[in-house]
Formats: sequence, structure tokens, C-alpha cells
Amino acid sequence: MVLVAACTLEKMPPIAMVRTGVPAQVHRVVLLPSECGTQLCKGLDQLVAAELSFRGYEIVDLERLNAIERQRIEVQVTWSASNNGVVSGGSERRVEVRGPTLSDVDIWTLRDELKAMGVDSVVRVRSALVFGKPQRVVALVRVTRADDARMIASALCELEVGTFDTFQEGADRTTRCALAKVLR
Amino acid sequence: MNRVVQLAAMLCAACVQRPPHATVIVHEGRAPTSHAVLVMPTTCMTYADVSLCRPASWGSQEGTLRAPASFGEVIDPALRLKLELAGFTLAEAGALRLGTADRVEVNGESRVTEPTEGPRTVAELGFDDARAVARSLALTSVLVPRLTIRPAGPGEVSGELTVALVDVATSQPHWTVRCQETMYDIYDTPNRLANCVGNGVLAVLAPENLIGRAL
Repeated sequence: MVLVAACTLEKMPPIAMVRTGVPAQVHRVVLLPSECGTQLCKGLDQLVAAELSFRGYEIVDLERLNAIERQRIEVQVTWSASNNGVVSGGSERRVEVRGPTLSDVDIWTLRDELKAMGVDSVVRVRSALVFGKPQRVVALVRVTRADDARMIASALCELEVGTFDTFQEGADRTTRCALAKVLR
Repeated sequence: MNRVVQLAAMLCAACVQRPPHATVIVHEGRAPTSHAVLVMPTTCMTYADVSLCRPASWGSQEGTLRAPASFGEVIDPALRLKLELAGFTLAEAGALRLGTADRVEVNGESRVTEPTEGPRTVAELGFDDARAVARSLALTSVLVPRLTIRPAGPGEVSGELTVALVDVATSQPHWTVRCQETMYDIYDTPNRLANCVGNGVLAVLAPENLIGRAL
């Protein structure tokens, strides 16, 4: 019974491909947001950003950096009332910040801003489901030079989505695998 | 045992539907001068019923999978992944903003207001305008993927995915890759076509990446 169950759960070994390009100093990197834009893709981007940050690379987060000076309006309303000697009160705070971040600017401005900030590398994470029986998940982590877009390193991992696995779990594992290969 | 069952299933599937093969045309003397290219989203055209280009019109699909809004949603991730593995650095037209949007955050909740009613990204531009943007970004080539759906016998339609790397200056293709397959569903077939084209590019430009090694 155990043997049958083991056979059912058996998966093909993962496949990894690594390519090394031009040598480059990688210090300050920008992680381009994944094209799919789903929560899963955003999570994978964060996973890679966190690992790179842990390894000492400086990550430029386009969604957190202001493109121009932003306007901040803070309104604090405090109120109190007395009714038959019973005092009640409260407060409300509204903070409005207006203005684009770097993720909102046009491509020409973004290019100039990244150059001005001294970003030397660009990291891109991709993941895709390969339909079929069995389904597979493939992820790619690619690092390129910011000035001429030449590849520094690239790694791809592909693995089967098992009977009890989800695409999300597979994407997580393949992305971690590809990232480990790139950082090696 | 599981491998035997899988092998048998694959053989049966192979009898029903042959795997697609890629036809690659590389134009002599037109090698791209740069690996950095602008990539457009996959567009769909058909000689038959126009609704064939809308995945939602293909009826109920397997499981609880949501029908993709376009075939590009299924094709582009797999195709772009293989193109980058082949050595291209892709500037995605859909991510290249033409104007700066405004952002308003109220108590941490963020909202983006687009600047105009016109095109927001390069993906919404016509080919000539996209070429102009590519030129301004020093990108010398544009990747143009196109899915064509056409009748293929009684009750059948076929899908043909063509990807061309077009020179920005001359509009002439450096190379073209084409794969064709009978369309059985809205996930599997487009995905197979994307992988087929990607493998075709890999076979010509980076054959060492076509077959991976086990970890």
C-alpha cells in the first residue's frame, strides 16, 4: 500500500538551467514587477527582494520612492460632547498623500531616475504554468546590467506540480530554486 | 508503476495529437545588433468567427479555472520566459508607461489616476508608434507575437502562433518562428504553442538551453 502511494506521489526530478553572462558589479538593483500582477506574483517578487536584501544588495523599490515631492495633508478631528454630565469623545485622523511614485512615471523619466540613483542592475522574476499531464511550473530569475541590458546571470527551474501540491506552492519552490542558482 | 502508466498515457495522447513542431526562418545578414528588444503582447486574429479570439466564448472549461481575458494571458508568460532564457532582454510594452499617473493615498489606501484618455502604455500603440518608442529607448528590435485561429476541417479550428523579431529601422524581420496546432481548449493548446515557439527560438539561438540537466 505504501509502495503504491509512493509511486502515485513520485515526481520527475526538478530541472535547472543556469547561464552566466558578462561579469558585473552588482550593488544597487531594481526589481521589475512581474507582468502577471497577481498576489502570487507580487509575493514572489517580495520573496526575491527579501532574499537579495538579506544578501546585502540594495533594493530600489519603485512603489515606495517618490518620483517628485509629494503633498501630504493631515486632518485630525477631535470631538467631545457632554450629555447629562456624561462626557464622550473621540478623534479621527485622515492622512492624504498625493503625488506619483517611481512606479507611476513614464518610461523615459524612470530610465533617467534609475540612472541618477546609480542603479547598476535589473532583476526580473518570471513564472509560468506548463499545462499538460502532469502540470509543471517553471520560474526564471534573471539579472541584467542596467546601462546596456546585458545579462549578468540567469537561472531557470522547472518542476512537476504533484498530486497534493498547488500551483502556488510549485511557483514558490521553483522561484526559490532559480534564485538560489542565480546567487550561487 | 506510475511511470509506466504515464508513459502509456503519453503514447495514447501522442496517437491522438502529435506535438507541434516549430518552423524557424532566420533571414541571412539580418542578425539583430542588440539583444534588448521591445516585446508586444500577443494579438489574436481569425478568419472565422471573431468570437474565437475571446477565450470566454469557448464555453465551460475544465475545473474552476477562470477563462483568461485573452489568449495572450496564457501565451505570453511561457513565451517570454523562454525568450529570456534564449538571451533576450525584454522590455514589455504593457509595462512601459507613456505618461506619468497621479497617485493618491488616503489612510494607506492607494489609488492611481491615469493622466489622459489616450493610450497609457506602449502595448496600446500601433506598430509604427511602438517602433518610435523603441527607437527613443535605443531598442533596435520589436518582438511581435500573433495568434491566428482558422477553420481546420469539420468542427475543428487550428491555432498558429507566429513570433517575429522585427528590426525597428527597416521593419524587416530578423527571424520568424511559427507553430501550428489544432485548438482543443483555451489553456493547453495556447500553452503548447508558446512552448513550441520558445523551444524553436532556443533551438536556433541557444541550443545549450533546450535540454536541462537534473538537479
